[in-house]
Amino acid sequence: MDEDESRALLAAYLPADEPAVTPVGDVVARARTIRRRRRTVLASAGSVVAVLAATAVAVSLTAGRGASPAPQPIPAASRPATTPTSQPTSSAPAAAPCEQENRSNDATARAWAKWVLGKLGPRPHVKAGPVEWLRMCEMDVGYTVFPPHTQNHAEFALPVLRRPGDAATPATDNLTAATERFEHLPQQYRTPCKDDLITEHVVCRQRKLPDGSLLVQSDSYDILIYGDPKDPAAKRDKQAVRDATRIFPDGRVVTAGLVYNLMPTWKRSFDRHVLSLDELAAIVTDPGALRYMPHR
Amino acid sequence: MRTTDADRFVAYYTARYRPLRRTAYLLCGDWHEAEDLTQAAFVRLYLAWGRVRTDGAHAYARRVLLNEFLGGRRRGREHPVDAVPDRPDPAGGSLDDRLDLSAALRAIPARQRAVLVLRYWEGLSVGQTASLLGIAPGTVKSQSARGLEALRAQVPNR
Repeated sequence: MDEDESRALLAAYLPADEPAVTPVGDVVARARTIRRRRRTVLASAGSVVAVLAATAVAVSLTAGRGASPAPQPIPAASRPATTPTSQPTSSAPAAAPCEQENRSNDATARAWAKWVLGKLGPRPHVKAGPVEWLRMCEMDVGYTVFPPHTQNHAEFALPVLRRPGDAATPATDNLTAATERFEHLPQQYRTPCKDDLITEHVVCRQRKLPDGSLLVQSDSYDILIYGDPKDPAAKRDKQAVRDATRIFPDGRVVTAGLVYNLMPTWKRSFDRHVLSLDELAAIVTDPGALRYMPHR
Repeated sequence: MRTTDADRFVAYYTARYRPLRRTAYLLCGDWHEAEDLTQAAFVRLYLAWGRVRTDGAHAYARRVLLNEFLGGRRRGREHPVDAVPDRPDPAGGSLDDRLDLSAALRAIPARQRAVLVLRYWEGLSVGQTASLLGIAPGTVKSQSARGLEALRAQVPNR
């Protein structure tokens, strides 16, 4: 049997009732959601394996907004939140299986965006980006699996830092800040600072806060591969990403991360980011952030 | 993604969605799973579009598809059907024939099926197939022969 005959044999296995093509818009919308997710979730994560064993079940549907303590400003990230959170860590049954992804222009998400903007202080030319509440079902994106979760998500574009002599530039440093509620913590939050196919850490430090949450701060490269990811000869490039993430054993996460808007000159550089790791950490460790955890 | 990139992506999607889904069907023997695999491949491709570009897109999408398929097998992803559709078979053959074909495909081990599809449907060389699957060229040859034999044996009138 030659190759044409073999192909014909395989072709005979294709039924004629081929379904219609999925609209490209559906696929693009899904990809865009993942891209936004990736900017927030791929932040190097905290490891609380011991605690996880007891809390890998979804928190209660009622463990929601408004249950955290009144906000207590924390001047710097080096000073962790010392107020124990009163967020319920209920042992209620797990949430119903996730069947449909959803999103909305949620009031709490908008309030979250406003709160983050306030934390940025008086800065010129800050441009607000997308703000939304998302509910995502389990999603396997190849390099990792995201468990079902909800998220309040806000993006901002800030002018990159300019040095003396730098020409004016439209380049921006894009901040994505999110509060998330995972049915159980994703793997990257259990194995902190671990490199993978698309992430190479430069700096990654973690410390446990008095309330049992974990703060992870990292500078990492998002690795761009031109061609086959498994081909060591494929051209690779790097994008400097800066993140701070606070991870609670019950599946709540607060994260803030920076990535440039595709400026080739600076994509490998961390020193143009507009916020330091400690400034990002100050945002995610502020107890006030917990007021904006997403509803289910 | 810039507008021009987006246009190229849409053009590529329009041209390649069906062929890639057919490849996926031959791998998994089920349109629903084929749809999932193909969408996953295009989502990944969209995310990587700026660096993959059109000339490398098919290889990239094919690899994602294959990884998703083989990865899904490893994770034990299955889509059991508890009822057959109560409607005429548009392919013209009897439902029994169709189920026979699907069963014949599924009866071949996943990796062997992947060898067949890559070699004869996608038209890759022995070397390319071996490289993509991470196996020896000799294994590709032996798996091809066994796979074809199995296909013919299970549906002898094809």
